Amino acid sequence: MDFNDIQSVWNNDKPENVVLPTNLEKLQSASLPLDKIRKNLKKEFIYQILSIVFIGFAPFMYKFPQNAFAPFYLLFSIFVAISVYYLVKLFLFYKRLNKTSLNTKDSLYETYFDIRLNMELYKTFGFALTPFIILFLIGVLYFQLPKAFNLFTSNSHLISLFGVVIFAILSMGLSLEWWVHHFYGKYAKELRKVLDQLKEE
Amino acid sequence: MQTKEQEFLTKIEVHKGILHKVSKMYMDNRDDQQDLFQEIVCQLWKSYDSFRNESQFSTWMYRVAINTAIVFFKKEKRKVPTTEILSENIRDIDDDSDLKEIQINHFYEAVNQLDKIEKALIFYQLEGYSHKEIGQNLGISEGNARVKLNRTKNKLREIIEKQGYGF
Repeated sequence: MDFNDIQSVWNNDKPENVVLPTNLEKLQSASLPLDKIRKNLKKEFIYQILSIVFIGFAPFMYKFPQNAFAPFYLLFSIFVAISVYYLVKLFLFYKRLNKTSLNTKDSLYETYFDIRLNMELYKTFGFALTPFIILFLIGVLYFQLPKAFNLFTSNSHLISLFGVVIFAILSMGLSLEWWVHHFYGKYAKELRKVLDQLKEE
Repeated sequence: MQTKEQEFLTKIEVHKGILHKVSKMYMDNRDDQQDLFQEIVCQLWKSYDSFRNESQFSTWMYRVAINTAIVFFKKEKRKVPTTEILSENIRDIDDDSDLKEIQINHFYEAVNQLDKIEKALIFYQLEGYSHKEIGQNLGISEGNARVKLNRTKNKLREIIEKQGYGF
């Protein structure tokens, strides 16, 4: 058996009954990495916007004292600004089309670096929000459970407070690493594997 | 006057058999093949503006089709191995009359065991592309394309022989 036999098998394969879609505008792309990521991001956008709205109403829901409103909304406005900046950036990022008409190597590299860039952007976004989340929690503790808060801030427990904050920020960083790797890393890994198959020999 | 969509569909109509063959090379069950076929048509339509008549339509189309097939992720829950489909087909086949059909099934079963780039190399070779053209389409050097293609042809031959089937 030689390659000519394979060639003749290939030539003999003349698929019949192949039906083309009639309405091209209705065709939805759903199985390419960037489309899957776009889908994930869409869900996350909705949750993040809902969280921002929820946090915005927290002082009313938890009946914060009047003097807490100004510092809370000062922090909240910075929080919203950072969130909007990143959300818009992530959104614009995935409005771009895939470059499937480039040669295979360039197309794969474009997709691969787009995914990697998105992963890093996502991590910095999450990390940038972490101090705010901790400050919000401290605020809630201060106004809702003042006794517990005083316990933490008394001189003897300042070291525990220091430890808790550092631990919370680092845990958030690690959780973000896991989250991004779990939801987006698999696509990057798969593409990297294909790119390695194209290396010079 | 033809609309852009009609013009596109007319061009694709001529090559739809080849697109179906690409889907069969990259996916091992009918549902996934159908999904990939739709995805390829979708990507071709989305990229149609980038086709500038500088190259042949088929060259541009093959490139988009192969790039799409390489990054296509099949639905995770669906797993029907090719062997099932193959044995189903074989049961229905009457002696020599469908020899071609058996050969085609064996060919795709073997090709499905290649990696994504190897499938692309075999596809371009079977479509009559030179080493230089294969290299250009994949973004690798002509020499690299030659080395990889020779290795892949040997691998494919070994797989077919292991299946206990020589054409």
